[in-house]
Amino acid sequence: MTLVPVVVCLVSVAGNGAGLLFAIAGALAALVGVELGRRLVLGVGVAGLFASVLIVGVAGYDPAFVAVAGIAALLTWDIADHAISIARQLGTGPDRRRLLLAHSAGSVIVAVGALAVVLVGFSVTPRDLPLLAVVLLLAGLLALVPALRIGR
Amino acid sequence: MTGQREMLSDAAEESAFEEDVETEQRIEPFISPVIGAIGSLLVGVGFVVVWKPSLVGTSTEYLAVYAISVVAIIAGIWYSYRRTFASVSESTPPTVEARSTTSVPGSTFDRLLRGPFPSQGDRIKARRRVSKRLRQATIDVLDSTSTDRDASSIEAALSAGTWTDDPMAGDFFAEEATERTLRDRIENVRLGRPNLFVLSVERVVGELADRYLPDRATDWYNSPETSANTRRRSTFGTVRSTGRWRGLGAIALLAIGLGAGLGKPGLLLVAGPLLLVVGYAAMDVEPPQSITIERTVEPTDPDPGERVQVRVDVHNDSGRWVPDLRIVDGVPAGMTVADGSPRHGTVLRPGASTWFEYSVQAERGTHTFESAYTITRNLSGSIERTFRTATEGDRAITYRLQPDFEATFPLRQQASSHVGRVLTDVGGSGLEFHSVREYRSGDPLSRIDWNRAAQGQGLATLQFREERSATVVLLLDTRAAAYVAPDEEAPSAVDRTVQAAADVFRALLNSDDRVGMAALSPRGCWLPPGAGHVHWARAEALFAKDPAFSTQPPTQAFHPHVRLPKLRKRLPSDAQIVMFSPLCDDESSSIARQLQAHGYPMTVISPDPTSDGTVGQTVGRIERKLRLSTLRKADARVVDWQPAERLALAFDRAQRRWSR
Repeated sequence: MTLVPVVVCLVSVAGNGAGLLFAIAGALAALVGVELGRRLVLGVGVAGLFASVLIVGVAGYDPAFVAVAGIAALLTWDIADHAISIARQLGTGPDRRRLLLAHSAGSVIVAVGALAVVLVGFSVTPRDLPLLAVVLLLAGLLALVPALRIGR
Repeated sequence: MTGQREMLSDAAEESAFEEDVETEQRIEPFISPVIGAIGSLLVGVGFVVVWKPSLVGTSTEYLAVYAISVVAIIAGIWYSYRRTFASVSESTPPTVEARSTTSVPGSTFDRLLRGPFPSQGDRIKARRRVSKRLRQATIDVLDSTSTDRDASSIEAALSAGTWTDDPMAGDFFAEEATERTLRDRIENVRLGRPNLFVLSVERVVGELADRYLPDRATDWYNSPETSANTRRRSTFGTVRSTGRWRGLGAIALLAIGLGAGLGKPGLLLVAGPLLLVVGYAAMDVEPPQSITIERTVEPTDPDPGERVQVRVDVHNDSGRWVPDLRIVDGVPAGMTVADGSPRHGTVLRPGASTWFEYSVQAERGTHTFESAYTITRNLSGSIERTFRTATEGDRAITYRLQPDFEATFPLRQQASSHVGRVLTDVGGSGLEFHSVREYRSGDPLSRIDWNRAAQGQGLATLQFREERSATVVLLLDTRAAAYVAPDEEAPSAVDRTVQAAADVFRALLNSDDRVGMAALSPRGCWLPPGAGHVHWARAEALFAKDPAFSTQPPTQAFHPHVRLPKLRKRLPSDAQIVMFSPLCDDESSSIARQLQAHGYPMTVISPDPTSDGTVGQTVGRIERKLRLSTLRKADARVVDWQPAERLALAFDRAQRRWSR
């Protein structure tokens, strides 16, 4: 299950050498982390994926791809962490798949929805934005992060 | 006593699961309202400016953008740094599959030897206890293996280090230890041996085992160390935030900072959906709690060792979706899961039901299920609720007793005045010839020695050995220290004791003896000697259900100076005692010797629960063998009953060395 977002993330950043390097290392660590049931290893892997996202972003890669890669890295963490949680509390077994599927479906729908909203918003925005608008948007986002205690 | 204390601490750990505090933990709201409102306002105004750029002038400085970027990057780094020290918080359900109520004899010794020690002082104390216990065992072994040695020469050999050829083992008790060379020490470190003390103890125990346990098979030098006791703080009865979304904000901040500072729209686009997803997780509702569970057990009265099928039906009463439901059924401690899993995870629609099945197994006794440990989560997994669901349906399993109706038991000679089957040395009526005496008027004609009369030597009466019944009291050691087994899977000494006691009880009733029983336990149990079917029914009920014979060790301490006088008052004066005990602590052997000294002929049936997998376990085995030997010297009959051996065979083996 974790493989899908990992692959999506890899494909999205494939155009940049350094980014791909980080992404491959991160992807491997994440997969090993899931296999071992170790959150620390998974965390390092997902951090690697996010690092690759930031790298390709800084490199000026196509914004849509960067956003997709970011969401894929997020889903990697979400699904893999959930799988580890199930394995820890219930052990592994075929009947655990239902739980993982339900959770993953919820997350994927929300994540893809969020991505779509942002991408559509981005595509309809005029290119010559007044600077103040950008500043306000950024300041707003900046304030939102600490406000969302859960993600801090 | 140490063994008992160890058992108690283990038992306390088991019951910690029961005593979880049911507190509702307050969750901090996921969204801070004031900052959230300001942020939303700014975003809103930003959008307005996007659509109507004419509303503002274009003179705004680039400076603001850079300032925001720097703040965002600093905050992002700060949050990332904090995230690296946080972990996801979730409850750990109990390991119900095989909660063992027993320990292996000698595990205290292993713990004293290898730690963990809270402080240096504890380490020194532990070493002192190890040395003392080992010294006593060595003296006893030397005393019983060599005939010519007396106490003072043994002491001398110990302090001179000459009791063994192994210099390292010899040095252990020696007053002047030979200096270890640096090379030796380096060699120890290279081999990964813990340290010199542990190594010396291993050598001493190895030496003792070679002398006293000739059939030792395992080599514990290479065996893995026994697992350390980990005490987990149980977090039950709580609603908690799992914290699995932590750190996303940090990444969003870094993306905003870098994106704004370098003018890369792609990075700003990453931050948007990330924040939206976190927002979704923050708004997610608390998971519901209304789950009902019904358990069906088939059969509820199985034969000894039989598997029991358990079916658990789960129903969602909450009227809401339960997106993530995890259940760990409360399998009784002392039962092992034989097939399937008592854990189940599923998604339940409002009003929907599901079920799962598994099977459990035990040797004997009554086992009561606990209510199921339930965990629900919301869809995003941001909140986890842990609670215990009251469970309807079957709660208990009681194993039937199946005594061996063919069994016989070799009794000692002391008998009562009732007719029975124990051959006495008293002349009278019976079958086996005893003696001839002068005729007294009133002697039955059939017993007159007519051959002698025919030879003209006058009348004489034949005497036969009288057959009488015995009064037997079975004494079952079910103190906490008796809940021991060679490994966690094996039936405990108490399990074997109860089964064997039922066999012996039945056998003695069959041979017309009067049988009673008593438990050596803080929970106490007494059945006065008696005979007949009703008596058996009473005993059977006690064996199966009395708390003194429970599969759970008692938590209170046993006080022999209170219990023993009480027992002696109840014992009939002509009773003989059959004591069942693993003899894994000094208290048990001292009780046996005291009763024997009070004139009750004693037979001790000792199920062997020892193992020799580790140094401590080997010490445990040596010490138990020494206790058996002490009891034999005190004129008690001892049956050393090996695991997986039939009791009748053990009697047979033991009888060969009994003189009477």
